Amino acid sequence: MVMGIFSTLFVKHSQLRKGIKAPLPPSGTYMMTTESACPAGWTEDIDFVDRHPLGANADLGTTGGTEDYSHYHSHGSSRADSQSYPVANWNTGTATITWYPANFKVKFCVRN
Amino acid sequence: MTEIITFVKTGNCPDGWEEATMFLDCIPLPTNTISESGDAGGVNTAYHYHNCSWYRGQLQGADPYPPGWSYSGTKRLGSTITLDPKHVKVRFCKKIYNNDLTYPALSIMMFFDDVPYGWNLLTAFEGYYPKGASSSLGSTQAEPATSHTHSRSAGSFTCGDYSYKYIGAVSQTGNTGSGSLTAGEQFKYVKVLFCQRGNQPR
Repeated sequence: MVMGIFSTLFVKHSQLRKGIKAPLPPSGTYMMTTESACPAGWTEDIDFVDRHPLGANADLGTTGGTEDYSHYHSHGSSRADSQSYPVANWNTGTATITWYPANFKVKFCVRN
Repeated sequence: MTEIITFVKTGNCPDGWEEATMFLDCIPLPTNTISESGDAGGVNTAYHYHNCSWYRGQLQGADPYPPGWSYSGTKRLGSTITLDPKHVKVRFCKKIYNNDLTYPALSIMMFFDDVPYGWNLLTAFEGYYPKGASSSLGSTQAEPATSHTHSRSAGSFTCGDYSYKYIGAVSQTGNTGSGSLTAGEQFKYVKVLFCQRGNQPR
């Protein structure tokens, strides 16, 4: 038994001396990088280009969303003077509003 | 002790990892304040408005410039937009981290509670959401200005008890406006510590 304990300690000591590292992250998990390429053992996932990771528990991996919001106004209004007559459909129109969150750019890399 | 956060694009979290449900419908947002990590907030709606004004003009079906009518005024007009940033749906996962996984040098990962030994807090990204890109990596991009102009067309309108037709002589202004989040608000987020692995991977 004593020999067994010494043997185990010797193996662990040998591993440390050889620089054996902790295990790699699980396959399918993600990290980010601002380097020009993902590290060895990791693959860039281009599905994320121009997109954010959004938390979900269904439809995983699907893409969606927009940066162009088409918006319609019915500019009904009323006069501002004392004769406050309603004015309906005075001015209508559609516009596209571009919006996206403030962001920083990274590559998303998935563990092989 | 700190928790490390990753995500998967298919299936469940790996063995030893727990789903981080607080990220549902949220995007992780970097913070530089450790005590703020894990805080959730933000909105997915924006109030879009115009300051619309008009002034006197000619109306078909009535004498031009009826006495006592100035046809002028202003009003703020608005409505709500539901925001839906471009995204990939993912499942966020977390686990206790004691440097028990080997990440390559310069990897960027997310953490709750603390910056682990061997990692450096990326302070330049506070308040900016991570977005995939193939160039300009590490750069930041501010939220866009959202002023815009509406197209407009002539049409019928009613004023009081009378119906008139806009024939082009009525001048209007105010077809431009802003659509933006309420000042100080951000898209739905969970604040996390974005950290970069040092040059000596462990």
